[in-house]
Amino acid sequence: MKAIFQITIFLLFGVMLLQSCTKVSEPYYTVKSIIVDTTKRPVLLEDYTGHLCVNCAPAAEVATTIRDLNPGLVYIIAVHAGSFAKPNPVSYPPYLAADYTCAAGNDWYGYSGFNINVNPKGMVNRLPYKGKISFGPSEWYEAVKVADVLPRMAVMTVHNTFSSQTKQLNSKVEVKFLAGMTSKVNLTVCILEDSIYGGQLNDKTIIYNYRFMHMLRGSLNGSFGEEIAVNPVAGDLITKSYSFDFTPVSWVPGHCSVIAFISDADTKEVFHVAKSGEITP
Amino acid sequence: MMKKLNILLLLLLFSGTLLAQESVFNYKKLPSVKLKTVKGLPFTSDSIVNNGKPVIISFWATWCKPCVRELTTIADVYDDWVKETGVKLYAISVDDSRSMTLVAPMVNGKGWDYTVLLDPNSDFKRAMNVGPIPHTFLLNSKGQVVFQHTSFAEGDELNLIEMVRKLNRGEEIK
Amino acid sequence: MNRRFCCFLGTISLLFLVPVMVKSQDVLKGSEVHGSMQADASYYLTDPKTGITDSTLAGKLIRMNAFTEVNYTLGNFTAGMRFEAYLPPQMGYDAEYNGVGVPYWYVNYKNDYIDVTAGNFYEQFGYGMILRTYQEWTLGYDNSLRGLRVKVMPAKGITFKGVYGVQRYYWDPYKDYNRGIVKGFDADFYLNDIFSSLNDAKVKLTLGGSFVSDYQQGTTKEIASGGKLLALTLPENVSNYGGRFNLNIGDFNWFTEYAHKINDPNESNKYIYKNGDGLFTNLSFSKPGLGISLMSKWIDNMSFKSDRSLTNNMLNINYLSAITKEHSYALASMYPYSTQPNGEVGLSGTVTLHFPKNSALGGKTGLSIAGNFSQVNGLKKTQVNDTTLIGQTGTLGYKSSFYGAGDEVYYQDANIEVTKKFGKKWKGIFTYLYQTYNKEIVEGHGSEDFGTIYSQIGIADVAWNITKKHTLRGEVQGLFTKQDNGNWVAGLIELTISPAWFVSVVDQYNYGNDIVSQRLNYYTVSAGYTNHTTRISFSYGRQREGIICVGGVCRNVPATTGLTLTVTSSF
Repeated sequence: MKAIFQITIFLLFGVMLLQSCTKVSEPYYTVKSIIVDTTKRPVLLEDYTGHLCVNCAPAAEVATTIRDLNPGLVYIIAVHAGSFAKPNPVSYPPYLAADYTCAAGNDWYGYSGFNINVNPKGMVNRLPYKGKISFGPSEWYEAVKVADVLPRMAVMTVHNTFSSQTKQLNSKVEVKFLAGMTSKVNLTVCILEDSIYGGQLNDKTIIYNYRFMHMLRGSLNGSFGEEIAVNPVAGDLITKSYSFDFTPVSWVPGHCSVIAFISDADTKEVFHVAKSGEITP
Repeated sequence: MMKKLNILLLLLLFSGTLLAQESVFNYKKLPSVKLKTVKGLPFTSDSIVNNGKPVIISFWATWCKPCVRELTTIADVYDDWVKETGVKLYAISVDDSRSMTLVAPMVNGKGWDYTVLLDPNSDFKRAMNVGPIPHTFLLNSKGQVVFQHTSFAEGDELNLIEMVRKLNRGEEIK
Repeated sequence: MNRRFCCFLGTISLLFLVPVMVKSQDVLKGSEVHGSMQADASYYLTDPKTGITDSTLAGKLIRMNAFTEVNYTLGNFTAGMRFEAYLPPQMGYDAEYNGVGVPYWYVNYKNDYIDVTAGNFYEQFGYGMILRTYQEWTLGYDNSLRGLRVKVMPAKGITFKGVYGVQRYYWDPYKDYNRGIVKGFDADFYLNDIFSSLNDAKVKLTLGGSFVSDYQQGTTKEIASGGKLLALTLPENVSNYGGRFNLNIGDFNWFTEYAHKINDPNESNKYIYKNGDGLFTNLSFSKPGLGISLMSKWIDNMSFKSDRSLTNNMLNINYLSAITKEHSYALASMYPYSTQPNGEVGLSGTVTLHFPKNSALGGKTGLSIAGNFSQVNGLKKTQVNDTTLIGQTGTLGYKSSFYGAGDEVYYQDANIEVTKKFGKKWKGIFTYLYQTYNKEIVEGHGSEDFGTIYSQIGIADVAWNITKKHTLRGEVQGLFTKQDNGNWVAGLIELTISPAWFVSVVDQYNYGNDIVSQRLNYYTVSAGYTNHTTRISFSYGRQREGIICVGGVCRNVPATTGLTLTVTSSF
């Protein structure tokens, strides 16, 4: 009798469970349109990628889609780092032999930075989203929506002068705080390069002539930038200048731009980001 | 500084557990955990008995080289052990889904004459607080654990059978 | 003072109390206290040859993973907890483990009819394709459920299990539906025990069935895909269910489990809505001297996590084990396989033979031979319709058929192992393997032209019992391949002195690397001491970058150089 009672209870429990299953029917999605609000905080979207990573080209497309859907609001840095970004041994065809890594990217990727571990993964203003600092491409859009509603903290401009004779870049970054804050603020200034063509692995195939965009080439002031203000108040204006010599590198200045962002020195949260146009004389 | 302090505290803590390792900690009774025989039939760990004779329990897995080495070494002399002392060896395989179906073919294929039981989600292993394998237990006639050993080196089996003989003579295991 | 630190202090005081508690046995008559601990501490060094610089180490030169678990039993009650410390986690372990605390504790009551656990528990339904929670310390893997588990054994041969809880995710506490709530039910019937008329039947039959449901909050999700913003409709409840049987007739055993998962768009399958299927079957025959096992497996879109957005291998609800053989020799496990949850079809066969002493083939000392072959292919996928790409986000994804294997080989392994004694003092194990490893699929690297690695591996493992207590063991291994890092040789010499000591020297040399500067020796010197259940060992050397897999879970291990101390104990 006891046994029958227990069996009944358990079967009831089982039936209850059977109810807990949601079958979704087509269409599984709707296409949404977007309205952009320019008073929102601009967003730095870091796409950790590698030319050996078969899921990274679709992830890059997700990033550009998000940028295009939010004009003027989203800035992408493609950071090549980790084991998927290693130049391939020479036994492989040379089109995968390129080394797109740089010290700043490696530091961000590794133990001293954000422990990205796998590609593709991204960070949005270096803010945790659902408790995680880095996450997969399907989370990026919603993370951007959470990040951009935060108040705009500053106005920034990046102004470049470039001499095509000396190949010397001078970059002036201006930060004006719109609101006071109680934190140490770091400024990080980096060079990005567009339109680099090379091999990129994709699902089942190699894209021999893949166009890499907004690739991180390096930082002008250290991997984690430099401190520019402590507890700034609204109206504080800070100007910094940096120079860089393009002579020893093979980068095409006309494809390069300078991106600058300010962030909390402790929590790493990005407060504001600005990007120059392409570097032209 | 905090980190260093933590490490120091941990080391202290561990040495505490090491010092505390006396016979008083040995199992007075085996925990009761559901296992499976190699034929997929239910078996409960408290039925590990041997009619008042000593029992050896050895935790192993098909992928664990030292474990296989231990069981192979004992297999060579197992017939003689059983004849002389009446001891019985239960080999508890902690192979999970990946390799548990390979246990029976391997045991038979190697010609081992042990009672082999499957513990695919390590429930018994956890209940016996076994860490790295191989890990061997020796039970006296009352089913109490009198000796445990982890890892295997050739020659360990001589020590083990010597203790079985002592148990049969009614001597204590130190 | 934070909560974690309080936990830490609490555990310490508890641990010091344990011996006292046990000493005063009269008070707690019939109670038992047992436990185990392990500490792995490393001191890392920079090594320019493997690219380890000060910035890689980031000042964290000493790293330690450690745990202590204590279980206390009194009559039908058991309670236990595990304290873990990662200060900070060792290289190769997820940095999110950084911290100390008690991630595992439980209280259990058990008698012949009922078994109730509150707190954390590890559970497996059947083969595990529907639900399995487990812990693997060496992998840094733990997906234990925290909640309630009830097992009822209403009659002989019948077991019901119900589980309800949330899974462990590093140190992140469950709150506000930040991950799914898992509910599960399992029934197991051993017919020969249930029907007394079958008690002594030669045919033994076990039947089982499981149902698992995972609730994740949120009915929509916005994803940028293909130049558009898609607002996906998500199923809040995803279920995975199935059945199994085990049929035993004499020396034959046949086990089969089938699992079916309803629409579960997730990061792993790129948010497609196809249902998932899994089927595993194993037929084995064994009698003394001969063992044969045949397995096959079909997995189609079976990734099932209690957080669908996850990219790493945590929070798995089900367990998809590989059917390929797990190798333990260093070079044989250089290219290990792990199940591809999005889809694969595989088969595996193993034959083990033993020729006893004094037989024609066995000679004076006996001879054992084990052969194994396994192959895993991808699925054959076709388009749902002309306008939908295969795997396109927000669609059914693709069509596939029952056991529909594709042409692409993910992994293949043919190996044979011969174990032979030579006289009383010498014993040898000789292994040959031919492995095909699709690096693109398994690691996400490489490509069809060159991403598959074909390797031949030979291993000789010879042990010499110098005296009854002293054994010298040597291994010579070679791995030969034209792909990846090229050829390797490895050697090992190990001296064990029963019952306490071992010393070993290992070297792996990548002499065939195309890049001359990468032709490195990966050497390790180690020694250890065992006393009963306490083992202390240390090793110094350079570890190659690699993958460690246990079951279906793998971990990338970076190259490291340094000194490692390991202490394990149990009581």
